[in-house]
Amino acid sequence: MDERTLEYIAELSRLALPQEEKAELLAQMQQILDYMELLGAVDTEHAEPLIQAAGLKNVFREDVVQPSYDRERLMANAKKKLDGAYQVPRTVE
Amino acid sequence: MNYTQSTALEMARAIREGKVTSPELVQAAKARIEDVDGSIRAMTALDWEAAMRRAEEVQARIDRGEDMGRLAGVPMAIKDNICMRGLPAACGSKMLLEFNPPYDATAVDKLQGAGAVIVGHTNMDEFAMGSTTETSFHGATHNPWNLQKTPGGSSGGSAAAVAACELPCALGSDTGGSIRQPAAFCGVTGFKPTYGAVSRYGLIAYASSLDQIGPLARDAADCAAIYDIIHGKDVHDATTVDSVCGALDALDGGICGLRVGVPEEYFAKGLDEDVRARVLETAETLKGLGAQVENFSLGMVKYAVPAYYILACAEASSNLSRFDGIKYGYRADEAEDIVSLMSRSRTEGFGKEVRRRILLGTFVLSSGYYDAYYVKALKVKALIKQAFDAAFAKYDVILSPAAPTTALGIGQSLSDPLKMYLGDIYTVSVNLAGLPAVTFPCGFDRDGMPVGAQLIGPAHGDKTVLRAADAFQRATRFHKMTKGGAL
Repeated sequence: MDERTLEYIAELSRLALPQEEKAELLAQMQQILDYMELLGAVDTEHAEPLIQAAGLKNVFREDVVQPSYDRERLMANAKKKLDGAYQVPRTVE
Repeated sequence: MNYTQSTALEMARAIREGKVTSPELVQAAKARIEDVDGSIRAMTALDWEAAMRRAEEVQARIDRGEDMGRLAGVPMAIKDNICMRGLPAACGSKMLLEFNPPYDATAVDKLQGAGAVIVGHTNMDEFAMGSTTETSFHGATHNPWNLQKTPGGSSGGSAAAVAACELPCALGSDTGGSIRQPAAFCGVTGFKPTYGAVSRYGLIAYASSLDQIGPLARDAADCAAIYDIIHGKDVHDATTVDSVCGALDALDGGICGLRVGVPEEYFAKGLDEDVRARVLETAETLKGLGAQVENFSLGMVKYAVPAYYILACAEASSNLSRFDGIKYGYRADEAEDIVSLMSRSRTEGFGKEVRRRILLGTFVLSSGYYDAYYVKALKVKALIKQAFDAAFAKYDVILSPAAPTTALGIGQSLSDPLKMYLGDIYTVSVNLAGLPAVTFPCGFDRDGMPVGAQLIGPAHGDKTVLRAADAFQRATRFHKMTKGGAL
């Protein structure tokens, strides 16, 4: 992994990496990824990807209207609100 | 009589028999926590007023003759990532420091319905990402057996609170060993149920295909009693299944003929000599109780940790994308546009280890690397599950160490993340395969630190592993040795 890849990944992750952390982080990530290379030795040609171990498929429930949680209560954790809506910086000019 | 060293079942029985009241037990827990938690730092949020009100309510119902179940009136705690109304759930993070859950987790709801008195939250590694409870924004928790050591993690607060006799039991969560490893390091019993047995609704997500809520307690019987209450299908969590119940009633001490497999790979290089000796002694004890113990080769063992970290980080990067600084959680000041609001809130709100795992997860899911890392790990996961399936065709349970060492010193693992990840070798494969497993104290190392053994069962073999651990505890006294006195 090089610094450009790390910056690209950070952008995708919506994280702003402080310059002084980059070198250490790169070294640690590289060390971990090198270790993950171990998996290359496993013959997986005949294995199917296992998404979840329980093997559940198509879990349905009755399509019945249920009361939702109270709007005020759900919004109580937001730092900035305006007229009952979340407030964010301007997104369109 | 002082009940702080009693089990949860003993406390509840004493309440039913009129020997003590629930408010008295809550007062005793409060006194004990005030006495010792300044040096342990297991608890992150406490609400004694609410707990006392609740205890009085439960006591009144018991006094009226109402049957509220086997743990009614018992004080307990829940991990800082399990939601309960009225109690801030910070998940050990600056990101959620002021988060007040708008609803109760299903496990909390069920415990309260059964008369449990939840007094507060216990400390944890930030977002459950760690094995030491040092990455918490609340500060590190200390091991009651030696304050210079970590309690393990990530449910280190729950383990330390039980070990220090602050409370008889607590809920934790286990994604790769986060209940079992701290239980082992603190000399208590920790149980990770089969994936899907306990609802994850209200558990702040880390890696959803691996996360599972479970109990930490003094013994397997308490774990079974809590499991009986919290398990079951839940409309709020589509991955839950109808699961076995009556775990407590299945504890009959009988393990005659139980087939116990001991994987040779789990005793290879890298395992501490004292841990090896104690776990092999555990095998002998089980043999003495009538179990058939046999060594075998499990296979795939060295691939579990790399597969686990690829999958757990991938799911974490997706799950933690919900923290945008807007709906809840930490919000950076004065960002000029929406993207910098999100990036700054996330960068300032998450700690180092969480950011590292989000980056790793984003990398293994990114275009060009997805097949080589993520899909490859999913295929390896399938092979790991097959290896366990083959083992459980021959054995009822698998015996292993809980961790390669006993508890490490505070500050010893943070600088080398890979080394910390490798410590999870005996626990992560259980989550990948969705199996139930229990860890329990089986002796001490040369420095007097607790050693934990692990029993793993096939999917839905929850009763079997609890029964085997309980049988061991009926024959031994390691689980009775607590740090109940002065610290």
